[in-house]
Amino acid sequence: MIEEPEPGGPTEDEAAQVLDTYTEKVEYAVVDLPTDVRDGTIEENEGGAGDRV
Amino acid sequence: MTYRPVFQKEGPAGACVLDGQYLGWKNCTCLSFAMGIDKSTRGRVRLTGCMVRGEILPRDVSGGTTIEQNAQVANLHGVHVDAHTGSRVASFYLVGLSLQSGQGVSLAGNTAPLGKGNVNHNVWVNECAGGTVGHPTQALVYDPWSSGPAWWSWSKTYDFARALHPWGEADSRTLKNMGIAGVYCGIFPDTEGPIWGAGVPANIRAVDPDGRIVGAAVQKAGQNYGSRVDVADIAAALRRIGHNYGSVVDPADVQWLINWSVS
Repeated sequence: MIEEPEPGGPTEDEAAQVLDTYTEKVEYAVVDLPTDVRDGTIEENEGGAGDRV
Repeated sequence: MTYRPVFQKEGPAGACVLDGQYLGWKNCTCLSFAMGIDKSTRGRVRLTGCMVRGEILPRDVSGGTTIEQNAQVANLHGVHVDAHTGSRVASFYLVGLSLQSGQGVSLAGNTAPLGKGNVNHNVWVNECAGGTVGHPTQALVYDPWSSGPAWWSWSKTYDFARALHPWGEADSRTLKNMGIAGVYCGIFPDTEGPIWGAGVPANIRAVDPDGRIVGAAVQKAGQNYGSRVDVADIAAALRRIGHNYGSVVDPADVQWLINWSVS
């Protein structure tokens, strides 16, 4: 069961209106970053402690 | 309420074996995308993380995977993902706006700020809550390396994303310590509102009020409709599959397209 947060904040429509007009959607990084970033292997780092939250 | 996918957990190693390779601990981005595809199709396409991994082309059963590889798989299922990687990282403001607009996000990062060690990782962010436009206060995160969905503070979510080591964990550089404000992510379609284009007649909208079934059918026919389904998209889809709709597309043609897509 997910404990829900208190209601509040902008509506979906309000955010969508801003998103539609938002032109700076991306941030062009100054550093030449790679695109092919792979996720890591958990077991090699934490012994496969997959239940830890 | 925002559609919530079935949570998918990472591991054990034997949870995903492809070509003799044990990938169960190397599939976090695949799991994140599997949950994203579930949300984006509102449960019509439910794949396991291992199935997503198996659909990556060319075949890749070594180590982890990239956002781009997984975005290609999502596209095979009619789910267009806007990949933000490399120099085209996404501002966290865009991530906030997208979540507030009903779009889910596959977010890359590193688990060091979570106290789990230096591991590049990926989580599914399904929705957000609170705050102001573009600046929510909380995010509902489906972390495959946890026991289930949990609300993270927006700052914790950002810390996770900016801790990414773009050149791998062995390289000390992170987005944060390089001063880069943007993050690596894949932004999924809006699942929460209608996707009909502005000029679509009411009698056609009535066939499928939110337009998503028609959108999936149009996509299946090989017509990319972008973010909104217009009558021109439907007409193009019908032409692609050889259906003669006469002079104008009418509701019966749209129903025919739906029936074709599920047959």
